[in-house]
Amino acid sequence: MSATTDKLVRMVNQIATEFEGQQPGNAVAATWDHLWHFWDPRMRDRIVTHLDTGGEGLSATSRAAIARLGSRAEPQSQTRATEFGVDADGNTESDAG
Amino acid sequence: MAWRGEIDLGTPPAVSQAMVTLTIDGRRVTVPEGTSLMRAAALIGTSIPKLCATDSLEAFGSCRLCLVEIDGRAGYPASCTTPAAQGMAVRTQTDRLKQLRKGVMELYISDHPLDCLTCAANGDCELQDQAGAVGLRAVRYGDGANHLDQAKDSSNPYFDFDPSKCIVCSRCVRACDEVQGTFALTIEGMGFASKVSPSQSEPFFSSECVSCGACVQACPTATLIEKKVAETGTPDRFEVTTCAYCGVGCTFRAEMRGEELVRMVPWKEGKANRGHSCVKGRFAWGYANHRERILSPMIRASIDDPWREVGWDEAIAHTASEFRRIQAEHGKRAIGGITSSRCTNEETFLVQKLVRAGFGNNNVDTCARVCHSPTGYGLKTAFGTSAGTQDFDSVMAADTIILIGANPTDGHPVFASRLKQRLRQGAKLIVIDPRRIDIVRSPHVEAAHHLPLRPGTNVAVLTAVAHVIVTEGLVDEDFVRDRCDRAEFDDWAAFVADPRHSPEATESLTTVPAESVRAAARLYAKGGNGAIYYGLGVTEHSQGSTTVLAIANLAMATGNLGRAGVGVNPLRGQNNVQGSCDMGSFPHELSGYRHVSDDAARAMFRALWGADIDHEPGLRIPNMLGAAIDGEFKALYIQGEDILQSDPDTRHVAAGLAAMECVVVQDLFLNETANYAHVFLPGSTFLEKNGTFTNAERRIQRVRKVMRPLNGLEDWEITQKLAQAIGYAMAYDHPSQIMDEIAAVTPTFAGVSYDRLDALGSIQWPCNDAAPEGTPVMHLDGFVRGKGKFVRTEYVATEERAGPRFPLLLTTGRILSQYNVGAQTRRTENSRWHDEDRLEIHPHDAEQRGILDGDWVKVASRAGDTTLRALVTDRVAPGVVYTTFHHPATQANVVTTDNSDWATNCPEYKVTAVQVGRSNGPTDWQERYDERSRRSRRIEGVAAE
Amino acid sequence: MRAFVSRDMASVGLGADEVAAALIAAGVEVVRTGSRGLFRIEPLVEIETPDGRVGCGPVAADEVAAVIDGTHRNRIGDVAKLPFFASQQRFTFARCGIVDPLSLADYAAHGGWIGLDRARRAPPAEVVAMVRESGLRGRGGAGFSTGIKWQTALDAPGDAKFIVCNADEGDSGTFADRMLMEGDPFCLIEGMAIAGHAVGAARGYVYIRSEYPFAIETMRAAIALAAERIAPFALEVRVGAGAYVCGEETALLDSIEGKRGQVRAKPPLPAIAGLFGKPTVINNVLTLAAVPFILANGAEAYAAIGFGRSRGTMPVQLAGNVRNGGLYEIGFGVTLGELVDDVGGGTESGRPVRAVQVGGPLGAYFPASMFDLPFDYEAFAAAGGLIGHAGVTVFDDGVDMMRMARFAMEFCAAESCGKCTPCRIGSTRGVETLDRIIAGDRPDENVALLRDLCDTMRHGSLCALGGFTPFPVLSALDHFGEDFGAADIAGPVE
Repeated sequence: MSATTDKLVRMVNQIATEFEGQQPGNAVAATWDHLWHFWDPRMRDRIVTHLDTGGEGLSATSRAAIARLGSRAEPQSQTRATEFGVDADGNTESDAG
Repeated sequence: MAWRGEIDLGTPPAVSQAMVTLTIDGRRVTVPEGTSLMRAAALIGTSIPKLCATDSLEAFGSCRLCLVEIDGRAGYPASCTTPAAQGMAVRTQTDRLKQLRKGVMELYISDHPLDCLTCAANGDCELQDQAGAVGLRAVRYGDGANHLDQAKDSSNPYFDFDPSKCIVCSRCVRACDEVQGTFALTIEGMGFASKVSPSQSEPFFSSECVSCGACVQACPTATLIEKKVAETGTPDRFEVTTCAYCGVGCTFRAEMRGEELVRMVPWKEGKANRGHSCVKGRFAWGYANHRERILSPMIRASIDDPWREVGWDEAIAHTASEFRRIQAEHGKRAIGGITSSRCTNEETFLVQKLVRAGFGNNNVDTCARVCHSPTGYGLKTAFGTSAGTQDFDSVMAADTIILIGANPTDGHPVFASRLKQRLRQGAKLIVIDPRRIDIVRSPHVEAAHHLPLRPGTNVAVLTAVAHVIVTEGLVDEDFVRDRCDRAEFDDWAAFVADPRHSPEATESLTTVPAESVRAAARLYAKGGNGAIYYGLGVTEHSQGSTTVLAIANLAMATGNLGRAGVGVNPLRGQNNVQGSCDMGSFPHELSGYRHVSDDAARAMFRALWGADIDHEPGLRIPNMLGAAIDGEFKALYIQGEDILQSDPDTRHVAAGLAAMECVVVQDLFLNETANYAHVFLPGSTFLEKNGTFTNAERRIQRVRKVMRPLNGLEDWEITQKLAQAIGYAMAYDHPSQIMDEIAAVTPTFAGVSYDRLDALGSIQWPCNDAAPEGTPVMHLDGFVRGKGKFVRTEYVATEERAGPRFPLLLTTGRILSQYNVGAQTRRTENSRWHDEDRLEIHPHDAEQRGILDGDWVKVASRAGDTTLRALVTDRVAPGVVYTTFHHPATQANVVTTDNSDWATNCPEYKVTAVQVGRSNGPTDWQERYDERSRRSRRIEGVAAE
Repeated sequence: MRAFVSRDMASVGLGADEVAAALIAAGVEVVRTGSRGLFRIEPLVEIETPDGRVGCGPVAADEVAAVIDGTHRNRIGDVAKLPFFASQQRFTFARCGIVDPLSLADYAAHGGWIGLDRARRAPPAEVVAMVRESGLRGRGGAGFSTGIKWQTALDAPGDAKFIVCNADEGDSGTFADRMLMEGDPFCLIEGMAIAGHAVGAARGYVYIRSEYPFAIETMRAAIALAAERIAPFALEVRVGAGAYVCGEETALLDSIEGKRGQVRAKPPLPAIAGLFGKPTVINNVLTLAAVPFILANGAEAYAAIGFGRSRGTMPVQLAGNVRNGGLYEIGFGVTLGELVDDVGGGTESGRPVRAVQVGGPLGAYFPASMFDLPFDYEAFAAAGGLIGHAGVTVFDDGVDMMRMARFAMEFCAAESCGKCTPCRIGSTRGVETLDRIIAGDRPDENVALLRDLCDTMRHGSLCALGGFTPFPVLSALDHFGEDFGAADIAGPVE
């Protein structure tokens, strides 16, 4: 595993662990949402490829989130939070931004 | 001393709502109850002679020049200490008063050198003015005791103290006490022997004085005067501008004589600093003319070559052709840019515009990545806005203040002075910090609770505080019901109430006594207005974002949001961290914090910029470096940031930079990053350009050009030239046009313009139709996101743990006299206070290792090792060591690791497991780096120094 | 056999300890009291007899046998019958010299605590009203109505309030505060406890100068003994370091707060924002010690005595070159001449009285021609002087009033806190100017300058130190001009 991939594995596991604590029932979706909104496509491609080739070192939540990333579905835009007076209830749980 | 002609009303304003009407010399005036007669008179243009009074200090009543007569009252009360009362009839000019004032002035002048013509304050001296005003023509006392042979103290690098000119008005002493809060000065002796004395008759330099300049500003004579004024003469014009150091954003009058800057004096009208300053902003601006400043562009083919000076056109054309070549060979996304939190909003906006519209990708990041990115993430999640909730004035209404992971007396000294003022008024302080920072116990200030936690356990401590608030019934139920999402609150409350989060359960982990946590929680929840101020000790952790969320949870649960005196207040490190983030410097966000995937926002930019914006996020700084090592990222335009020194894991940064084909550094000096650069574009200082900075309280303030750029171009002009050269049109004539564009595309800036800024002095965003004069306190009636969001904060230990190989935890911080990587402050006299970084180590840990104070020690982590000298002190707990990183020789970041915040990749500077041992000298890395650095700084045709 | 011997610092200075030791050695039970206040008869020994106490004094240690067998040459008999004592009106000093200062039983047996008990049965406003109706005025020198001061403190909002007793008795020739603290400390404690009840203060401080070690020791012991009796009111002694200016009330507050003792500008009044910024009653020892009498005997009983607006009694201290030096408590209105000649018995040296300084080192010098001046705040002010703390210092015709004027300036220069300019620089210039006059250097010009300087200091100074220094200087010039060698010593009309 290259140094960059190793670093990405650590990063995604860290994110997944955090969301397991924050949103125990929704950690996979939240992790997926986060990766989609914050990671450069090259980073996402690299981690998807890593999962496809065995996914050494990835946690279960990470694997599930990356698998969803591989499906190319796009979550809703996250800009809602910056707009005044918008109701917080949305389809995705995370308001990361 | 006050600028000549600047109106000094003599005493501070009274705050009463009740008004009283009186007559002064027959003229009616109505003022708030409690206003002094002196101030009331000044408000109608009647200036009463005075020497010890100035409107930045409480009335003192010692000079006895401001005596007045009041109908129906015996004697001659001092107008500075006598409050106006309803129906009072006051006379300020009578023969009797003239006689008394002249008598007092005759005494003053009987002990003052008559060397006005050769005095540094000639023409700018209140004693001189008042002697004229009272008409003193002769001194009859003849030879007598005097202080004329008192020796001058020139020990301070920036100002002289000449006690022979002192009139013992105590303005300096009071400024040190009331404004700065250091209590370094005193009046020593009694009666005629009274004299101003730093500490216990020490020279200024070695005294407790922190060189904030308040005493110099307060002095009515030439007793305390800037060395530069003594050298250059008094200034003859000024521009108001904003300091380029920390996130407090002090405004200054840059006082000039011709093209020469004579002094920087804090501007009384400045709403961030209220007329105060620190040693950096006030005095440490000499770097602008430092001999090491680079004024000519330079290029080189390889980082092993010496630099070659070239003209601007060649440098820009070379850079543009390299960028185009690399994109052609390696793809559009192979290059990127880094904006600077030291540069203006306009410059930052332009760099990200160059990247997004010119380069056609989102590979833009900023140094906020390594400091407050978790603040942006956390506060946006909780409240809907990536910014602090208050203005600085708010602290004066706070009753209980939590300070966590911030050391304001060193890092944000002007805010610290206001905080200390409030604490002296009786507000309570809770400090959560591994170190016993100065404010835990300093003159007339003592924290009610200091929670000296183990580094890395912020989340555990704050969740324990939340546990106490929820389980002891301290929640503000009304606030939670009205303002927050109930289901999320209930989920959170159940989570924190779990016994495993109790202070008792977490005590062994955090090392904070459970009873301290409980007491602090009760005080914060029920101690009146509760405000939280925090710094990088919160954000620079693997759970930095979670800690910010935990802070937001506490503020919401206790109802401490939405009014003055409360709130969540990040103390921003750099002058324009807030601004650089606002301007769209992050790879996933456009200006105003709109995600790049937001189709509507991108459409707005496309319409204005004529370019498509990538809807995918770009690379963050550490990922750019990683991609470079992997061969996927080849060129980087870095404006005003020294990532080699400031970013963690120096070896990784160096490897990334070395792997690139074209690194462009735009800076004042050949910084450490420039050792790996191929193009150097000389930058301009904040004194040489127009623009705006946005401080920690969201306050947008003007930066005004007071002199021509020595390098020939303002920084925004350089970016503009580069854009033009790569074929993307930019045609601004003035930064005000850039601000107009920012306002057009950024809803929170919609109402901001240079005209508006000039009219209002400053504006706190959001500024728009709903808030045309800006927004001092946010979330007044509701959160920006709607309902406040509670988030569970499960403590996840950092992977960085002390163990047998690395048994100590290293944490890092700042010191007052130096700033960040020290590029500026190291090139000023400030280095006399702090000429090297030291490793603080507890006596117990030092003893175990045979380390004595001052010994050279090696600090080693799994990332690398470095050497520096030890400072043995119990300020740090056993098991914890601490250092600053202002000096490149220290290479503190060789030791820090690549651990980072889970959400934002903000590096974990605050926790590194290390071993410390005695050492004989620099490490191999330090020696190799020194050699590289020396070779890299060669310039063709310029002899090495 | 029981004998009473004073433990007052003055008596001890005259040998009272040795006398007491000799009595004990002779098998006599000795009770150490305060001093009755006439130093000419100290050390005084009073023997308890079925017919009352029989006094002898002064007594030397080797004379105790004669005292015991009743043959001492200085046998006085009933001390209270001496004209010096018989003519006094002792309201405040009634117990001083009679009781054991540290005996709670003695204090209670001599009417102690009645005032406090009455006060505590009444609402605070009623207590304040009684003090106001008594006409009691500040005995420290300013003569401000104590009742009004207390009313202001009572009305001032505050979560904490304080009672501060100014026992920084620094005027030369004064000793009443010391005598009371050493001779009847519970009286002061009771007065402070009443004040605490009256204004709602739970805590008090007694600020005593370090030069009064006996008073400090006695007050500390008495406070410990009385703690339960005065609870929940609590008292503490704070010791000053000897600066005269710390007797000024606001400088005293700064000193208690641990700061440099410098005068504060007023307003705010201490009654509104005093110690630690809280409402504070600060009164002199004699003021607070007068309060138990007022509460115990009623405002009318106190107000019945006095002169004009000066009601009640004043413990006058006779000192300097005077035969009957000591403490003499009397209703206001007694004339200066009566005090010096009749009570004081003229000078100790036997030479004619030339000048009397009233009110400490900052008081005016009066010539014998002004001896009909009644002891009264207003009368003294009208005569260009002040009562101050009621110290009366007598000089005979050997005094050089020019040097006394110089001494006043020198005293001011030595004790100036240095805050305000007229006092800080003016006092030093005053000394220099007087030195020129003494040296005969242009006396007319320099006397004129001295008068201008006194005008600046009188009306320009921040506190009474600089403001009152002109009293002794100008009174010396005005009444004893012949000592100054200037042709024209007449001053400008103010």
